[in-house]
Amino acid sequence: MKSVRFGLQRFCLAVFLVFLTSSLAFGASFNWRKYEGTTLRVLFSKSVFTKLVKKQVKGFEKLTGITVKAEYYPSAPGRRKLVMELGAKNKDLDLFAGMMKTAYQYDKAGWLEPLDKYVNNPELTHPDFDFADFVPRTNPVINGRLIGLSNSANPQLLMYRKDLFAKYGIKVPTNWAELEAAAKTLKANLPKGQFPWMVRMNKENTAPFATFLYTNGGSWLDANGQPSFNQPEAIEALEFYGKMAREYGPPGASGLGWKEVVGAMAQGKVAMTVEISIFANLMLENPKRSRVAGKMGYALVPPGKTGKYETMLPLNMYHISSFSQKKEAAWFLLHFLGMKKQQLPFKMFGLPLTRLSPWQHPMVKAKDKLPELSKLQVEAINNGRIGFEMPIARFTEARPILQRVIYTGYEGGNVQKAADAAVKEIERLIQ
Amino acid sequence: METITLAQRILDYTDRQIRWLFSAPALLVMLGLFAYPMFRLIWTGFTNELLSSAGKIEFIGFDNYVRAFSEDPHFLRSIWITLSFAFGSTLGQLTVGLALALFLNRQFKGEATFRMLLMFPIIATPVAMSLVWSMLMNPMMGHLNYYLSFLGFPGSLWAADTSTVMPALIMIELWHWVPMTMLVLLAGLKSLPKEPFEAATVDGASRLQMFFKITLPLMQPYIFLLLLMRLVHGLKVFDKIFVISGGGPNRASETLNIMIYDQAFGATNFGYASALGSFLLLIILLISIGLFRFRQRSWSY
Repeated sequence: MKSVRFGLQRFCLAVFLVFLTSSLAFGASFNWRKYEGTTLRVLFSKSVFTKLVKKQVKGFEKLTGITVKAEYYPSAPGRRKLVMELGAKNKDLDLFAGMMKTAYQYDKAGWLEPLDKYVNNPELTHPDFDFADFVPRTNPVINGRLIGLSNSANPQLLMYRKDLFAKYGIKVPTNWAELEAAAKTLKANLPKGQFPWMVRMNKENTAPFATFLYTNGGSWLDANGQPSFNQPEAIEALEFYGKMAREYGPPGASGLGWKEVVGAMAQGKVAMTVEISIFANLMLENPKRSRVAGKMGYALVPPGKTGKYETMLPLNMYHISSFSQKKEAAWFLLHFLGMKKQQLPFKMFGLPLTRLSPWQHPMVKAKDKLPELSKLQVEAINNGRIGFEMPIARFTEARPILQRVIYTGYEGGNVQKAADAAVKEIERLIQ
Repeated sequence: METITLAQRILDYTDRQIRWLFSAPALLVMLGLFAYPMFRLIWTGFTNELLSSAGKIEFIGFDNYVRAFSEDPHFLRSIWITLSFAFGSTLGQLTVGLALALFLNRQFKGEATFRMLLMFPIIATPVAMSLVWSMLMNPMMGHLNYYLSFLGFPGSLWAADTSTVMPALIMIELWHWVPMTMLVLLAGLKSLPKEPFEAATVDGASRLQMFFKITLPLMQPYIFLLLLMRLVHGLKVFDKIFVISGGGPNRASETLNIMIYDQAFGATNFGYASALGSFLLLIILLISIGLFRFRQRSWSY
């Protein structure tokens, strides 16, 4: 009896000691107040989520005692400002929003702080952060280094009018032939002023085209990093993308960007498009902003000859500036914004997150009005390919070159010749 | 003979040279704000400055200019687009502005109201106004095509097509600046002496003859001033094109200024962008000198 009591006492003591040491260890290893009194300067992207970001930044300031001087800019002018600040090696800037397309340029310039050492450091990363919860393919890695922390990936989907599909007996297409057949049927039946198909064709055209390129087995660059979009798979994709816009889209497609495409879709003037799926959450399914709310159907973009649903993922992320003097405090804010609790409200508002657990949260599931769309978004993120621009440092110069080749396809010109000429121009940029 | 003392000489010298001291602040500001940026622009045009590069900035001579003329297929095209926009919009503004000024240079009921209404585009903010125009010109949802179809005319693709984007942009430029040219020309018309017209009427000259033989020659200084101002403005225009077409579609409205902006702030290629900027400066300088020479050679009253 005595020995049993003694054993129980020893066991309780052991449990207590383990509890004490572990809590002490956690307490010693991570402390949100570690950089109290520090001031960070951050450049955020202005968007529909800005109000939410502001709220979370306030929460961070309260939790950590760190002051955040946040500036919010629309993405394009914000990028211009950012480039000027980073180019001037501004030590005053600590954290900024970015995209995968710009990351190649910024990384090559040495502007991005690698984050691996922060993620793996228990003194700097909260134990609940759970980095493994992010879809691995959405972790922005360049040359083996984690150069940012992603927060959302907006997968492209085929968005179609299910009422029109039902009316004309069209099945949801699963390959390019079926997609064209659907467009043909719609063209024969739709009244004047409505169009079967509409995609971006202005300087943003690389975004939807990338999905067609990837699913047909093509790529911007080959394994050696040389331009490869003049290969047969890419030429087929260029011709198909151009033909669909030319034959089934509205006239003057060369001026169409995402605003025009989504606007026309919301007005009920277009039957099908390939666009980033957040427009469905924010606009197309909002009865105040759309005439087609409730009439929309969604599917993974029909693949080309690979038969593989490999959607292009435009990745949004945050970076820490390599010139920052307060990198660790900046990481505190960065990983705070990426934590499950902070990410949840973004998911509630419809942002396609790269962190998986909020998608499964009971509150999100209960309030999700578009569960089928959410399911497709998760599937697309899990099978997507990051980026729609050529992954090279001088992508801004490459973009108009690629845009011209895509446009040649729309005009019905000699795509092979245009692609060959463009490859030579891009080779010069890579050199 | 009066002798000049050393003290007087010093005073005289100081008196003559003191102007430099007083004008020094203004000269320094001028040098800092105008001469230095211009020098930096020209100098950077001879370097390989790439903002997003960890490499050193090196002097590369005329390489950027060689690249523009021999390797960049868009450079010469953008010069052509720039010149066609500048000359097209300037000539349009002068023609329509003069017609309106002649129309308003007479007494009629509601003349003041009409003139005031015409002034509205001048006070419009270029960016806001451009956004409104881009919505109006939307080929699918814009009001312009709706009203055209209502009147039985076919719609246009406006800024959405390579063949119509430049006429559409010139049309907006005319809408924006014709009131200003009209105002200057109207002031000119009102200041013309009456005697030559009275003499021509006595001699039996027709209205057309009076316009070409008297009005136009007398208006030459005003027309010249506007020609110079509007042409230089047309060569430098950026905001409208940037907002409405962004240089597209398919780079069909990419003026030299848009190209410079993309190279500098998109590609961060400051060396090349500066070379293009220097070249634009040279074009503006040459056109201005040419116009002044023409003005000196042409006759006037």
